Amino acid sequence: MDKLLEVKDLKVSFFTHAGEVKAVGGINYEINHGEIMGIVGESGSGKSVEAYTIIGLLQSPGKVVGGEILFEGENVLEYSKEQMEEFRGNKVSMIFQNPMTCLNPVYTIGNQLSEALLCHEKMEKKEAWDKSIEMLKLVGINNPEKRMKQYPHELSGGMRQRVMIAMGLICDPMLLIADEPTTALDVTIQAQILELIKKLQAERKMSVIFITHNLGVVAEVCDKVSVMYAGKIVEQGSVDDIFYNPSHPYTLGLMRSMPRVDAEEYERLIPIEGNPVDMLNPPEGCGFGARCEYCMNICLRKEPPTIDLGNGHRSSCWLLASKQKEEA
Amino acid sequence: MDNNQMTKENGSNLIQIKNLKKHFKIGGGLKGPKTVYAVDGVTFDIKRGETFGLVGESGCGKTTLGRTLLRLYEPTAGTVTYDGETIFDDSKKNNPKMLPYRRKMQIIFQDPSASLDPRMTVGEIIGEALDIHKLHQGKERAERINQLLDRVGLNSEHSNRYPHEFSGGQQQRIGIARALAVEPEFIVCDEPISALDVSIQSQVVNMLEDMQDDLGLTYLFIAHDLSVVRHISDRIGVMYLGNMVELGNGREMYADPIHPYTKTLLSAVPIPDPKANREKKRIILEGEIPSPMNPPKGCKFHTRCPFATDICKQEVPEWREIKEGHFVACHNV
Repeated sequence: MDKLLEVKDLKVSFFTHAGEVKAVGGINYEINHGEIMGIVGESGSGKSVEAYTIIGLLQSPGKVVGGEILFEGENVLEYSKEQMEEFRGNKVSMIFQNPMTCLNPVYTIGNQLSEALLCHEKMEKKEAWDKSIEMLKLVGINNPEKRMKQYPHELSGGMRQRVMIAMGLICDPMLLIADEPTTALDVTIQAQILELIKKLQAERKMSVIFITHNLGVVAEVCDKVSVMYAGKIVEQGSVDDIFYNPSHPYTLGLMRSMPRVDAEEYERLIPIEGNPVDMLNPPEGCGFGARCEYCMNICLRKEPPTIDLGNGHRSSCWLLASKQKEEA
Repeated sequence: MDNNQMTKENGSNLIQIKNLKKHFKIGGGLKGPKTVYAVDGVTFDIKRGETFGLVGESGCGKTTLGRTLLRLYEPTAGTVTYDGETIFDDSKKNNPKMLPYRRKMQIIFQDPSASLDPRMTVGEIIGEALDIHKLHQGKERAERINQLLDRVGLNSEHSNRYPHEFSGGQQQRIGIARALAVEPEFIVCDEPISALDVSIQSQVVNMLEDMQDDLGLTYLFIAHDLSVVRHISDRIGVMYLGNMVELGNGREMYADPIHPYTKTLLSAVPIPDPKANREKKRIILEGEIPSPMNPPKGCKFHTRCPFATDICKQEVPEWREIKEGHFVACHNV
């Protein structure tokens, strides 16, 4: 498999009145063709900002302050406005968390769906309309001819999310970024949507970045996972490595703090103590240090190195660094 | 925990609800107002000292049920009994004033930032509850507020601050302190953790459990997250479109669900375990929850049920006890 997207040391900051907020503080990862990568993290961990940067939707006062985003070898950050418009929609597209706020309430579904085709594929109106109907059928919407003429408020939440997915896929992108696509939905509808994304991904061999805070969803759809905390990727690896062999205390903490629907006995939850990091005044050293039960002196002073555990499994923690030293 | 479980199971009924209904009239227009059948005939008991979990999809009426039994919404029909005293009976004209009962029954809301007045300090928010019920006046009042803040893991300095100065998890703690202020026996927890970050959710769940052990509280825990409900609840009720479809001991019901809706709901929950997920057989429900304005006839679930037969389309299934303490409403059981 070859690389589709490579993010190298990406840094994004927001310049606010209160000071610089380092929302994304130097992250690295790569995605191959046909791979689904999950990004897990709490609100404010920088997972959405990072995705918005890839697709060029980062808004002022946000700025990329360093790093590269290579898509098929080309640096997306150097694209001109025209190139970016060409890139967005055709090669990369995005589906958002709340479909109600992302669909325009004063245009019909058909109008909004076919707009993408008219812009990007330079299709005739009739042709675009027919392709849109086909797309709605593909995402499992009954009676698509009727839906095309309806407005977003006439559809249910699950249906709107299907429309969003149809819109994201209509220009046949190579990479789909899904930002919490099922968070606002009920479990039964979530199961339908996850099934749909998996099916379409397999049929079209596209790559997906799946942003979520739900570890269950990650375990179900993703091939690999990046765990973000305070603007950094603290651990990444294949799903099996992350779930069965977590090596960062934050990943471990997340797993232990979640009740499981299939748990056999009652077990008291082990929460991660403390509150999420204030990104305006980030602590020195490791971002997770203050909440970490294994915190050592060095963690509060110096940023931890990223340790390679083999097979693409990487983790940024001083514990591993000292362990490796001992072994050597 | 096991000891605790025993006493809970032997507990007497604190709340008894019979055939409770809440219908909302909306709109007007030429065709006249429409009726939303939000809660449509629910019968169950809550035992003293237990946590009763309530699950279902959004729009199934679980929040309305929680609010109606507290009479935050006036019920349309049915009866509600609290500790042997009737607090609502549709056959009587004069139902009792709720103020004395408000001291015993409290609620924690879903969205902590929306349920705290932004123009009051934390001390005022908690103190207001004390003032209304004329508890702890004068010097004692401040002490009580500090004690409550301490109880929920905040400290006395916080009482002069405003809600916006706190994170979501801390705001929810303030909401809990406010509910605790009047020393209630029963608390409706309406999605108390769904607005919180994953790492904070477990902190609040543990705190609710500790409070229950220390103060002997009874909870009605409403949530759509099935894993959390199973974790915290002794007994669980599953709602669909205004009705309860299954009720039973949490662990038993999750291991062996009987109603087809409970089965599909449970199988839809993604498990944080990649291998288990790959092997799991999922029942994917077709379609979406119908509108409560125009619910299907007969069994309300028949439009989505894979096992529906003719009788399901005609007759409303009876709410039956099929095992001790395990109730189901389904024709095919």
